[in-house]
Amino acid sequence: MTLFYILLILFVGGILTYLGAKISKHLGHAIAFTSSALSLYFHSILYGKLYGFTIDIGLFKLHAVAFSPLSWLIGEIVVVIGFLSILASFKEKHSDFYYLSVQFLLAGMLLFVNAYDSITLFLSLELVTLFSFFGIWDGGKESAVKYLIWNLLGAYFIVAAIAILYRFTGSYFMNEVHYLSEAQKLVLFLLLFAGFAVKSALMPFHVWVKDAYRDSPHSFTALLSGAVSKIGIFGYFLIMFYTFAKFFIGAKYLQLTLAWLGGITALFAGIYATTKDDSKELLAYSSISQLGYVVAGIALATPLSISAGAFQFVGHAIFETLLFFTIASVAYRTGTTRMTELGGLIKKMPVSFIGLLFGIIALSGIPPTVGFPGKWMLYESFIIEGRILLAAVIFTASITAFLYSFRLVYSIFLGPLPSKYEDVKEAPFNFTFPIIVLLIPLLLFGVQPGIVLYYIDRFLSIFGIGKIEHSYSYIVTSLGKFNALYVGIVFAAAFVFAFIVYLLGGRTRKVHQFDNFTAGEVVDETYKLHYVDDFYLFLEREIKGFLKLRIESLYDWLSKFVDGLGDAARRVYSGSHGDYIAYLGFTLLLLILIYGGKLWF
Amino acid sequence: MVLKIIEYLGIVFGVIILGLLYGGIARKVIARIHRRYGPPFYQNILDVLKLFAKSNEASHGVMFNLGPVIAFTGVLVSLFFIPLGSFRPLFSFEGDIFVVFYLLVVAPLGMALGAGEGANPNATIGIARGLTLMLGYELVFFLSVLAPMIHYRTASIATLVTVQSAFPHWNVFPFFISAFAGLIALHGMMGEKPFDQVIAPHEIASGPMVEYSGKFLGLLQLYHAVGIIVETGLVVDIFFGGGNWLTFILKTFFLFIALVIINAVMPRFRIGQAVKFYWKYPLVISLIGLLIVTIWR
Repeated sequence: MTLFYILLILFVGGILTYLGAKISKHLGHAIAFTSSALSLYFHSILYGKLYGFTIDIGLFKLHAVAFSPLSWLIGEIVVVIGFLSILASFKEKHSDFYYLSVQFLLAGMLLFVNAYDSITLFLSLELVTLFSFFGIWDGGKESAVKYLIWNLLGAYFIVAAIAILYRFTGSYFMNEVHYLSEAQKLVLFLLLFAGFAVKSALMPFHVWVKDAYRDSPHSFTALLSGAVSKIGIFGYFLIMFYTFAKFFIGAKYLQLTLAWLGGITALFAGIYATTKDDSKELLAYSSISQLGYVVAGIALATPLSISAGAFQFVGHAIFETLLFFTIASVAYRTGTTRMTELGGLIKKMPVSFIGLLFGIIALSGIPPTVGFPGKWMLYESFIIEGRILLAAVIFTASITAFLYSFRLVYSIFLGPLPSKYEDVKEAPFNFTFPIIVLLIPLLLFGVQPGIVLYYIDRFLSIFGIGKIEHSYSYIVTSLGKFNALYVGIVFAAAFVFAFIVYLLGGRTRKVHQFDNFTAGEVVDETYKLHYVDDFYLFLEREIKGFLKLRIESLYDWLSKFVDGLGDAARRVYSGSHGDYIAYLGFTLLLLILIYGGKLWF
Repeated sequence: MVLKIIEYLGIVFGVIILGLLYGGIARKVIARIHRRYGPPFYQNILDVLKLFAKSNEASHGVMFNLGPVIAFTGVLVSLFFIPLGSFRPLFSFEGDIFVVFYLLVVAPLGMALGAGEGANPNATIGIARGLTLMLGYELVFFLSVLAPMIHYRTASIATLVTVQSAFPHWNVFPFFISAFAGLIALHGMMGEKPFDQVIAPHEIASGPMVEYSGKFLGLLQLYHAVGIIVETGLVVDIFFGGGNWLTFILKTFFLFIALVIINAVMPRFRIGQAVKFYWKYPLVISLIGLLIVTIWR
């Protein structure tokens, strides 16, 4: 019943926060902090246990059981990021309802990952959608509506699939389905997949992400990217390896299609990310891109590729959240997320810089950080399976990660410091604490990937998928080996060596930022020395044709088409009596033509 | 243990000297092609000693100072995961080609971060160009290296060296199409003309190096020296059969000098043209090579 109490804490805590904030802002904050910290504690002690509950709410029963080891893993990601996000949001301006939304959202996500029957699944999914809508609403109304519309579309897919599933099987449980034809299974699978794809922002259902991430409150974006997107990933795991397990393992064509969908998402989103001016838009696309790797990995359905996908989503939860928190702290101090307006903040905000630096190192997958083992396993599994072109696509996507992540770190923290930010200080503890906390797993899981992999092993063995060969520090495949610990040690040793060489040289002196080589020109503030506008213009010029090709234009065309259809229908009701009589006459004529003489006799 | 560490330090030292000598000889070769006399072949070693002796050098901040250190660290780490001829460092079996691919990125990243804090637009333009160029050559290199990897079903560089034990078994003969594409990719990776947009001394004043002087520049010279051995060594290991220490040195040397000779007579692409070139010809060549391998297997 522990899970039930956690949910109760979050629901009651949410309501109490709302009421408490009416009395005093600080009381509300204290209640929100307590309830999220309690849920974090109680969820953490569930590690390795079998837990769940059933309650009867009249019409039907709600079953929540942690039947999959991933339930705890994603649940833990949710409560950790939820706690950190609530902590950071105290410093930002929010309506009282915001804290209620966040706590209800956390409860919804926890219920979702433990949902055992389709009613609970759908109910918790709706909770998640609704309360993340309220969270985004706090920052930007239009983007929130866009988010809601897309996620309702996803919900329609899911509710349709659930209804059909009930019609055929007569069971509300998400158990493995039998007695259905292949075609029926395929349709149901695709409906559910599309529903979850909206949540995890797989292309072509990604269009809400850019706006929702940009406009949502800064600390809430971390939660959206780090935790809410994992709901979709859990959904994939659920349908691929549980509800439709036998069907999916057998359907090679489906696996390949979905893997390619993930690969193309990774590549396209990576390319779009290099062209963005707003740091949160850039990170939104990078988040889509990184989740594309996850889909490509789990869709291929070999033990190695599933482990790769699972490791990658753990990594994504760590580094993407870290990056959004650093952006949040920069935005808190400077009031903007536009990269063209920032620069040179490394001297003012060193902790945020270190956070962002390690974040991008992990994002681009450089060992020994958490970003690398997942990518490594992904390449190995693709090549073992002979999916070479897919490996090449993913590899290209990972090169785009270097491009946009350097742009991010350079535009915000390096380059010249604009004079308006002369007296900016480091972000308060509420922002630096999450950054420091997230740096620990980022490096730890990078050097000891086994900590995560042993947990993923449980998932693989319970669902009978197979296993991979690894220990705490190394992973072995039939192609090669990666020893994360050795890489870490060699790294440290080489750094020490290089640093000693550095110390051998002479003394240095600190110079002003404008004391640099300008070919004799005397420069000052009036010269724009920050190379940030159109960073990759020469690249954009080469891929102009590709960048014009956007799925949004298709949706725009569709909406215009429906608009036009409505307009045409409206013209039917012209308001003139003569027209209506004419319609009547035409209809009668039509009936006579169809039914002929039958009408008279 | 102590002996092992001394051995490694010796190798690092040897590789640094070797790389500096390669660079010096390259300067001489280029000079002779340009009908100049050129500096003595050991000039690069003198340069580094001079740079480290200088003091009171301009520094723009902590990241600026650490940038060259990280760059040098990056190539040193890669060095330990690549077999140097018959010398197999302990780690060459502990990380395969994909590990090396990502370790090779550390060095440019370090230099980019350091140069970024220098707040000189020339440096950043150079880095942006370098990253864009990476989008061109990395994919080609990846695809061309895949050919022997798929054929021998291994991603371990040490194993790839072992299977091509003697002269006629070099991978360059069966996989000549892939090797050709790989060599073009190597040319871009080394930043030789026509792919030297990153440095482009006449346009952006040496790009990322523009703000660096004294020991920082010395460290970057060392990074470049080790980088030469690492990058040519990787190609020699994969396509030209590794070899014992002497043949390994000879092979890397001739490979490097071949690239330098091309460099000496080439003009420079615009960055857009360079990327487009990689997407047009070497990419197609490497795909053909890969296709042949998959069919032939």
